[in-house]
Amino acid sequence: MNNSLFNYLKDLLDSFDQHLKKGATEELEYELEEMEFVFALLIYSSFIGISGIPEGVAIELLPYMGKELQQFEEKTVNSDDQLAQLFSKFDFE
Amino acid sequence: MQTYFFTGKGGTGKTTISSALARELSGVGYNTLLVSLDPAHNLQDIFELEESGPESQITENLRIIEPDFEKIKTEYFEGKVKFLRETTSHLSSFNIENYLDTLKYAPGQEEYAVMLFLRNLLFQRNKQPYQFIIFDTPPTGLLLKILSLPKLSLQWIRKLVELRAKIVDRREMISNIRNEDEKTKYYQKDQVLQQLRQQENEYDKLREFYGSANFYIVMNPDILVEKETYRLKNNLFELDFEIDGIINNRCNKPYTFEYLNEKENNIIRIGAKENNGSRKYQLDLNLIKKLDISLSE
Repeated sequence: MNNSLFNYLKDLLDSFDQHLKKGATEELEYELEEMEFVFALLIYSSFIGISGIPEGVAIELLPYMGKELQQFEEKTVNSDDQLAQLFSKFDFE
Repeated sequence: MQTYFFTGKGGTGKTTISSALARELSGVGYNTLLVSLDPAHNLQDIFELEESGPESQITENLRIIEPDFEKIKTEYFEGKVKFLRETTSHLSSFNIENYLDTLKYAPGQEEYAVMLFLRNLLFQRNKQPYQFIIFDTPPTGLLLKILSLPKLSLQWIRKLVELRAKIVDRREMISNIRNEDEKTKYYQKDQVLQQLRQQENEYDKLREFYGSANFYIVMNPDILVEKETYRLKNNLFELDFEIDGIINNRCNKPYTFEYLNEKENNIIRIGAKENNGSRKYQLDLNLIKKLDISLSE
């Protein structure tokens, strides 16, 4: 009995802990996502018609940029609804 | 190893001078490599060779290379496409393969092909057997693009390294707050950062190589050529290259310079009679002495 109560309390505190940590990192994650997008945008701007970076540098990085390219695509698809994205990031209802 | 670049306006005699110097140096026993960086090569014509591959051994000490830049470009892009197909098949929605196909024909790829060739020549041939490497370069426009590529790329790479380091920092920070079970070594793991640092290293070495090379501009006694030589000299200076001398080729009579200062620019005269043989590769222009080349190695 004591043991199961102890486990229950432990799980409860763990979930509080997880929730607080998630809250603490949410804004950092948003900042990280934006930085990753800017990074991809700088490198693959020629995909969307803005040329800048020497192509050779971009081509060498291409095989390692899978995650950023996916984010790049998602951002582009959702780009017409940026206000909604911002609100959802900051939990505005 | 000593390196010489001969540059200048089209038709001034860059190929003739570089071939004559290569022949002279190899003739006195130095292992010499003569490379044409001009996509419109004519070293084979000068050495009266039948159509052969990109590399020919002329004498025991003299080798010439006329790289096939189209082939270098195609092989490079095919290699990248193959690697991408194997590693990032989930990205097929981007149509990246087709994008790379079109990139082969995009502007800027010529100088990149030259860079790929130089990278291979300088860094992948472990034991460089040459005491002298002589480059016959394309006319001024393309040459400036070739020479500016490392500086321009490095400026971009350094900014990208800064931004990427911040990204990696944030990832590590988030991981620490969440107290993730498996501690990820983001700095060691981030392949993008590794790849950027590798490129930085390669471009640095290429700049170092350019920096240690000797640059000569070949000109003719003609006001238009002199003007272009003057501009080229200044453009090279802006890219941090110093000219070791200017060769006024096919100049018999004393020539009055309007834009260049003869002494300041170390102008070396080569007469038209000296440079008037039917068999160009046999020309004896006494360039080792005229260019004051140190043969101590």
